[in-house]
Amino acid sequence: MADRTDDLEDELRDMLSRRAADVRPRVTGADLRALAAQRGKHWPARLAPMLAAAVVLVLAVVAFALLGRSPGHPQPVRPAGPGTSTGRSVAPEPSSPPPTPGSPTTSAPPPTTAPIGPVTTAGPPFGGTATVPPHVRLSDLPWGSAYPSSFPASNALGTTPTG
Amino acid sequence: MTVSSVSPVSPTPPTFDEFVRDSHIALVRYATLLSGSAAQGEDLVQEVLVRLYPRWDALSAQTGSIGAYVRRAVTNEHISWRRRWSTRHIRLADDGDLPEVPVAGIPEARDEELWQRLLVLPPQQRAAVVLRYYEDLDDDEIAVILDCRPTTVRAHVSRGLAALRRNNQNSRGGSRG
Repeated sequence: MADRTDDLEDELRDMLSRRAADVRPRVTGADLRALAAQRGKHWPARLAPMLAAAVVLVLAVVAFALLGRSPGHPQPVRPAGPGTSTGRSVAPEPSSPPPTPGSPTTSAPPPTTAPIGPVTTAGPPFGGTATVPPHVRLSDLPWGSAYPSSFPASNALGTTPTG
Repeated sequence: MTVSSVSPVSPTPPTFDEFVRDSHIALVRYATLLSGSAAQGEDLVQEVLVRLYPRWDALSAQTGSIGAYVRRAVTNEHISWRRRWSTRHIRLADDGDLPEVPVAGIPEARDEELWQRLLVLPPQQRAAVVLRYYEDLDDDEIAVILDCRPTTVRAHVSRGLAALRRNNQNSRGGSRG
C-alpha cells in the first residue's frame, strides 16, 4: 500500500514537472505591464454602464417616493355612505373609477356627537392624507343666539336656533 | 523553477517589473497545472496581475511575501473561474469516437491518464495536490495560499491522492477486463 502511494506520488511529481516544462507563455512581461497600465487608465469607462444603471435606479426610487406610488402601496379608500360636502346625495358606484386629482373629495357627514375638529379622510388618489374643513352645526357657533327672530325654527339642516 | 524558488522574502519588495520578469513563467506554469490548459493558465495570471498592478506598491509593502499573495490570488481566481465556467457551459455527452482511457503501458499515455484524473478533482483538492507535488510546499505554506488550516490541507491532499488511486485501480481493472 505504502509502495503504491509512493509510486503514485513520484508519478505525480514527474508528470507535473513534465507538464509545466512544456508551458511557454506567449505574453511577455512588457506586454503585461502595458496591458495593466492601459486597463488602469480606462477603468472608469468599464464601470460607466454600471454607474449609469445605479443612477437611474436611484432616480426611479426617489420619483416613486415623491409620487407616493411605490409598488405595493394600497389604493385610497372611497368614503362610504351617501352625502357630499354640497349636501347632494350621491348613489354609491362600486365600479366607478377612482377620483381624479382635480375632483373634490367627498366624505360622509360626521355624527352629531362627534367633536368639532379636522376630519381626516382616506386620502387623495396619490396617497398621503388630506384634511377637509369640519362640518359645523349652527348651534355650536358663538353667534348662534344672534339670529333674527324671523329665522325659521327648523331650517334646512334640521337644527333649531337656540336663544 | 517554481514561484517559491524565484520570489524569496526579501527586505526590499520587488517592483512590478521585477516580479513579472522573475516569476511570470513560474506563475503561468502553476496556473496551467491548476486550470488544465496553458491558454487558460496564461489568462488567469494575466487577469490577476493586471488587477493587482494599480495597487502593487501598497500590496508589496503590506504583505510579507508578494509571491505567496499572487499565488493565492491566482488560486482564488481559478476557483471562481471554474464556478463561472460551470454555470455558463454545458458539458456534452461523451463522444464515443474517442477513447476515454489512454492505452496503458506507454509513458506518455500513463502521464495523460494521470493528468486527466487530476483534472476531475475538485479545485481545492487539485490546488493542494499541485502545491504539494509541484511547488513542494509544506502544509503551512499551502494553508496560507488556500486560506485554510493545515489540517484541511492534509485532508485535501489525502482525499486527492485517494481519488487518484481509486481511479487508477478502476482504469487498470477496466483495461484488464
